[in-house]
Amino acid sequence: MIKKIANVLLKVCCNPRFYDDIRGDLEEEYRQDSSSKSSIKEMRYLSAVISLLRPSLIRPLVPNNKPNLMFPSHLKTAFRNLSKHKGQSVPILFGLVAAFVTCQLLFVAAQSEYQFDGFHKKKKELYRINYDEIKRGGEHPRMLPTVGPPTASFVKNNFSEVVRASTVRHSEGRIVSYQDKVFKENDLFYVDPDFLEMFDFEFIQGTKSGALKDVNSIVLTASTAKKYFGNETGLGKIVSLDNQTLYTVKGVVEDPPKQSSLQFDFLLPFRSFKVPAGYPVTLDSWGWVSFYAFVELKKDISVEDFEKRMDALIKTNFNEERSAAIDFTLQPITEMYFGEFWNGDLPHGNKKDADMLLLLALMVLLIAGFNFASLFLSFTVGRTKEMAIRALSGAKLGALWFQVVLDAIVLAYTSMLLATGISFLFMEVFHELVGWDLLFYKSQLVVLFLYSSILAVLVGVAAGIVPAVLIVQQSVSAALKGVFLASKSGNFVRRTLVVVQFSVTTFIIGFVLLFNAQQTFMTNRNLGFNKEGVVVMETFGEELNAHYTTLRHAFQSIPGVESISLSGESLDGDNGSVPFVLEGVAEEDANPIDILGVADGWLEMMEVPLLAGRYPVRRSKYDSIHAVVINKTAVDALGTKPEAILGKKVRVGGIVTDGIVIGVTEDFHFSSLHEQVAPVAILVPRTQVDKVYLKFNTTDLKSVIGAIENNSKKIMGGGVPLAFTFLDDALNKLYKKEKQMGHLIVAFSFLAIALSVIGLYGVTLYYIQSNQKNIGIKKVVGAGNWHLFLQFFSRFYWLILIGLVLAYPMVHQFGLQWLNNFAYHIEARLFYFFAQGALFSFVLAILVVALQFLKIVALNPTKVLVDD
Amino acid sequence: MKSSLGHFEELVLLTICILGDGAYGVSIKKELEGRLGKKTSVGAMQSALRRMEDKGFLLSRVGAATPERGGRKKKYFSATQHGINVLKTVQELRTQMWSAMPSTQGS
Repeated sequence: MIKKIANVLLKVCCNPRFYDDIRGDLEEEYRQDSSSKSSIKEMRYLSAVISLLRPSLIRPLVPNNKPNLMFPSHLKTAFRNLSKHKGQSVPILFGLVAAFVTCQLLFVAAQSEYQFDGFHKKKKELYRINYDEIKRGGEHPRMLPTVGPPTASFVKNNFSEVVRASTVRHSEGRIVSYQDKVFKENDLFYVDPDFLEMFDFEFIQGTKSGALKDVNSIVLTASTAKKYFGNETGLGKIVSLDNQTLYTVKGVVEDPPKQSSLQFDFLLPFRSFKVPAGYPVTLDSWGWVSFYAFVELKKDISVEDFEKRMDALIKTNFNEERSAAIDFTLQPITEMYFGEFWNGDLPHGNKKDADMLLLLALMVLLIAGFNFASLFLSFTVGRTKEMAIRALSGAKLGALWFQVVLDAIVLAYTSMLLATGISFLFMEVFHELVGWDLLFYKSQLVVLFLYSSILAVLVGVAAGIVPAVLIVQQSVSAALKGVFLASKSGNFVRRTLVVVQFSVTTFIIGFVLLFNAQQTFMTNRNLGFNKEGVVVMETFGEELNAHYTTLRHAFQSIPGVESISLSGESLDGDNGSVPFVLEGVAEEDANPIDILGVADGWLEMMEVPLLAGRYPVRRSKYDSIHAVVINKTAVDALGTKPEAILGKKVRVGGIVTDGIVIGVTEDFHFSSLHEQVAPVAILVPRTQVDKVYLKFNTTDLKSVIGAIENNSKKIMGGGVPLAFTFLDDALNKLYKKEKQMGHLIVAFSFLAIALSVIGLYGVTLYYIQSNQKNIGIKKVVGAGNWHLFLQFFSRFYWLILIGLVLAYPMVHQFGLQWLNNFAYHIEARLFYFFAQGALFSFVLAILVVALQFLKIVALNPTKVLVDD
Repeated sequence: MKSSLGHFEELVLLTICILGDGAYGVSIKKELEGRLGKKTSVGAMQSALRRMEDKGFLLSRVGAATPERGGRKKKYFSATQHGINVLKTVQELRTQMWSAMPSTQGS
């Protein structure tokens, strides 16, 4: 890619007399370059080409081969012109810089989506085998990215087209310990040895070959190694998994980049993977569709043909009925991220979102480009006399034309350079604000710079051509007399632009206000429970269940602890759901219900109000077998009353088979506010409970948590991981996306305001310039300032008003759509938000116009009229 | 004919004389880098070659195309008599100036 760009650059810039020879030399050196990385080779190639761009080698600008003496003079004049008219060139620059920064930001954000999994060298040969279930009607009820555990090795053994293959099993909730460091880990990947050869995860310690050969070898990522071993080397260290198996560290790799679908902390040999106890399957079960299978195919084979044969052969392992209903398909790894085969485990993105970002970037540049053109026109018009003198002293029309365009290019290019510098300097800030990936940003710098350069030159040329043509058409004598040129079509474009800009500004400001109102509403909403002072201690379920009674006792004696309970959930909506079968209702008619596994005392601790019945009681044998508490929504869904349902027999999935409804609670938000409260069954019989809920009534949290930690270690042993989170913080994380979006919107609103101010500035400036004499004469015949202001303002206010009015449908449409993302939102009084946005924009516009009007006030009629 | 010779040009011209028949872009660059012990940029060298060709120090002829050049022909360079004369003049001038140096500053 880089090489191709370099070649185009060479072809365009190099003197055709030398081109063939130089190109040959470069090619020969490129092939002799022994660097392993093709990207480094290509960069060297590019730098060689750039070093060739010098006066003696580049294509002559004037075809007749005479040295162009005017060129340096033009460049010098361009810079002088710009620094002489700082009042005009600075706003021009500012608008373009802001636009370029935004563009670059958006471009990188979009690229980081498009290039997902693109960092693997073999990305074109690597495929994943997907599982596609097809119903008779053509529906695809299950499109899974996973297949049965034998698939990868089966395909490798039976097809010579498959060079390498690896099964990948993502294992969660494992305890890894090294000396006194114990953590619960959720990203362990069991892989085959081929995995390291297929994917590019670079080794920092140890070597790729044989790193996963032994059954008891393990590879860690850099940050994981740091977590366990600090700054010591990881190699040779022995870690323990689930306090059962020991693994020796054979390598440390770089953390997977953010643009990787495979996000692991540990790599283990697949050979050491054991079927978890209680699973009714073996590693030979083709129907256990929970394993990723990656294959590396030979280059230059027909993938479609291979896919067909592979599908047919895999199906021989299934019975006829099953094999008719599934297809095994291949998907290039670079298409996984946007693809339809997804299971919630791997990262996943939406291509439309990325397209949207690019489109936005283009729009911003387009608007800023128009602004630039409009301001540049005013700028050039002010220089008609200089041009006329140049023409009189014998400059060719072409040279004048060239001068104007060059000015524009210099301006645009300078803005681009400034913008690149700014985005480079502030990338850490952007990283914080919008989650920009620094490493990825750096890898895109060259491409970013090349694209930005091309765009900057294009913007410069586009903006320079209109005034250049006008100036060339202008007669010399008219220019010397100071007669201004006016272009009707140019005026129309600029007016339209002001309208568009002001409607966009109004829209964005209205939206920011709406956004804030909704945000405040969400933070202040009564969640139906009391989250204050609640800390969640997450640990390993089995140990917790074995020692809970002792732990409870020990914790209760710590001053500052008010109450203790257990739950399996963290109120983030990640609940399981099972059928809720009421006595006398057929199984098929049962509604699904979410389940919330808690211990006694949990509902009291969270202060969830009861509508009828009672809370579960501690140490009640009856409750631990039968107790089912449901919320009001569940009762409503059954079409009955809270009192009426008490005592009814019920079966909740396979968890409580002999349940009795003992209580009904008021609704509370056990999931984020994006979701409507669903029917939920609160069960005391332990499902998977691994979180201790603690309510504190002290502000000295540090010592209380310290005491809890000590007690837990004493009781459960040091080998159990403990993680504390404040419920408040955990709930805030549910709204992280809104927060990031909030930052983005604020940034955009600043940009929109800046662009519309600049746009209006440009139009008013042009008006003043081309009406100087008119105003001068009016002043002479005694027009007052107020009169002049009204006349001046009347030329613009209608543009602004049209812009404001046009914003209303946008605010209405998008506002409603956005609010509908939330199950609970503020009243949709969109006109109110629109009105505020409109008022703001209008005041802004008046300010700009008023500031420009000062120029008219200061205008001295004698100066402008003396010209004639 | 022009006869000014820059320092870098002088080095390139000498290299071409050393290489004789086999002097073309890549080989000159390699030989020069070997003798200087550091990298030179393609741009600087190509531009020196073209300038010296314009000044008449060099002659070029087109050679055979090879696959490693992507099928492009080599351009071989050789020094003209004028070029060699200029080289010699420079050399003589230096020798004279060295010998004119007071002996305390020599060696």
